[in-house]
Amino acid sequence: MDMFLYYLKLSKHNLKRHKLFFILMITTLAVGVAVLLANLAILKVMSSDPIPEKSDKIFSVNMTTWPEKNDNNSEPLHILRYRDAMHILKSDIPTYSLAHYASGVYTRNIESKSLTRFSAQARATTSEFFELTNAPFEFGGTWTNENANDIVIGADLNQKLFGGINSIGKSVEIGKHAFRVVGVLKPWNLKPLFYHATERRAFNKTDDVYAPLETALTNNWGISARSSSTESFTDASDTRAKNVFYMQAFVQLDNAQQKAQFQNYLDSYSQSLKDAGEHPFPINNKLYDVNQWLDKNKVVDQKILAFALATVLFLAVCIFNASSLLLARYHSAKFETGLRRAVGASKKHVFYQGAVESLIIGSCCAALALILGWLFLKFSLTLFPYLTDSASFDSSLVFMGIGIAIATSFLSSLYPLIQASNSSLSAQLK
Amino acid sequence: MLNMQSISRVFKTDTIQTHALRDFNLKVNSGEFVAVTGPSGSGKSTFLNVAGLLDGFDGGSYELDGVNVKGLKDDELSRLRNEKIGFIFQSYNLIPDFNIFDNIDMPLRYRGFSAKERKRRIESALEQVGLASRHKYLPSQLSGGQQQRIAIARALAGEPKILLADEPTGNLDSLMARQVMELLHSLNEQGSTIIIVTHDPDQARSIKRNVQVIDGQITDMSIYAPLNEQALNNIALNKAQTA
Repeated sequence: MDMFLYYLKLSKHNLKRHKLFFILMITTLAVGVAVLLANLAILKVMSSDPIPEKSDKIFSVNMTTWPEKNDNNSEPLHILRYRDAMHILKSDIPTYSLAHYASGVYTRNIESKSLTRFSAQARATTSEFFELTNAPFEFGGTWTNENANDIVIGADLNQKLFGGINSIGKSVEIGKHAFRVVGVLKPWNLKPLFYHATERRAFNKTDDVYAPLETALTNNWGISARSSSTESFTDASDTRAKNVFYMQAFVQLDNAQQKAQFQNYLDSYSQSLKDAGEHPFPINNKLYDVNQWLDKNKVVDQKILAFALATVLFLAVCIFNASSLLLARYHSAKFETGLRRAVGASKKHVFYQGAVESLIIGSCCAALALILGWLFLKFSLTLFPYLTDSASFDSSLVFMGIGIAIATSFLSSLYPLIQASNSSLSAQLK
Repeated sequence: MLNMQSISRVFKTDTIQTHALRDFNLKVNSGEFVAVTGPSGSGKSTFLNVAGLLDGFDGGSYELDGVNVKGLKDDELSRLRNEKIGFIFQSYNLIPDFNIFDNIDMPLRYRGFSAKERKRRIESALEQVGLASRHKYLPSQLSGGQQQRIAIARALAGEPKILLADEPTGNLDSLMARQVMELLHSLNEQGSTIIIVTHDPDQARSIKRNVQVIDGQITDMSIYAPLNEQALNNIALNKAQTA
């Protein structure tokens, strides 16, 4: 401990003695670490597990039921017909199951004197949506009747329409119809949005309105996501009976046995359709868990990955620069090192003293890197506005930043330190 | 105290081998004061570097205070340097922006002494060299002679078995040189073993045992009667007139 305090005293002395040099070195390393940290913050949001408590138990259902064979369409589809979705919902094998499609509506507090309508992102889905996705309720809960004009609204819309109060039982006007609020969600920042990771929507906000699927179809809520069909249709309600592929389905299967049973259930269904001549494909239904599904949809932006590699290389350049600066400093401090060695400091003493110095430099570098990193992150988010609410320096990134800063400081001083502790003693002293 | 037998030290480049020391034999007993003289390039400094464990040697054997130093690891050599050897350099080698206390403190830190013990030793060493009140001064605030006395205090603070001095008065004027030499003689009288490298024959004459090194070998070992006060004054006077 005594020696550690002595090393601290010497390091403090050296820092005072070579202020400009250390400012230059700390800045060089801090810029490298900061750029890396800003990039990691973005990468972390993009590659994070949105529902870690059960991401390995929730599966996106992909099926082969498309009725026509083209050149390259043998892969199962994640968009399903109404009747395929209903077949999935009918099964009692999954713990929870849901089907959904995205829509857009205009909303107004029916009691409001204002006629202003707020545009709202809507999700037509089934009641188990909330249990499967662990959506957090502030007030009320899900609907019990799949045909009722009941809705669950998000926190933002509740704020806009009702000023954030408990709005259970209040009515919202949507498309000339009144819908009763049965549930209000807490602010829900689900990133990535695994239940709609396709069409580059993985970083969209969670929805404003959640309505029963049947109600949405009956009210002809339009489909505002990818759809494919082999038959023409006019209204959403027509899609129940036609070959229109647009719904996504997710199931929660808590164990391998459940998964195997459900896979059989899907395969039997596809086989029965094939036997009836409804599709020409070999049976190839797939269940992707949440992280597999996010990977398959390439949720992590490839540009970000390329940039991450560039920032690592940039940090390496910063380390080399800092290392050459230190090499020059140790060269100029040869006399003092030689003198210390002559009066009894071992190579280890010289090395430990340098290591303590690099720890102090690393700590200063960490503080500066966190400030610069935060600024770089704010700037980077102008390029990725959809991540603005999610990407930040959380505690794990802060600790990582401190660790990287200290490690880079130590790395940059390693070679100069080895050189300094191995320099010839007799040549330095006269 | 110091026993070198058939020591050789060879410096090699791609094309040239230089024998800085060859078949070098020297035994110094405890309490002796030895002057090592010789022309430039004769191997005096190499001898002092080897003796002070600042440099290795290629052949022969070397015992310092009963410890065979051949094959010792860096840690062990550092500990030996710290515990048994006190260095006095021609250029004093004080760290310019450390005060006197911190300069003398440096070797004691590596020995692991407590703060109290270090303080006691530093104060005692400063007293021995007659600069007890200067511990807060920076080296630049002292004269050359005082700086060399601080360097001697640094060497003494560790209570070493042997003092190795390399041209300790080379950078001093005659008066200060004399003060430093008197201090070294006084330390020797109190029991310190001292080896001093010098090319000043007058200074060597003031020391009882002289060893002359030429071409890396000892060519002459003479024992002189210690010079009295008058002789030392004459040496100082001659030096002043020459200057």
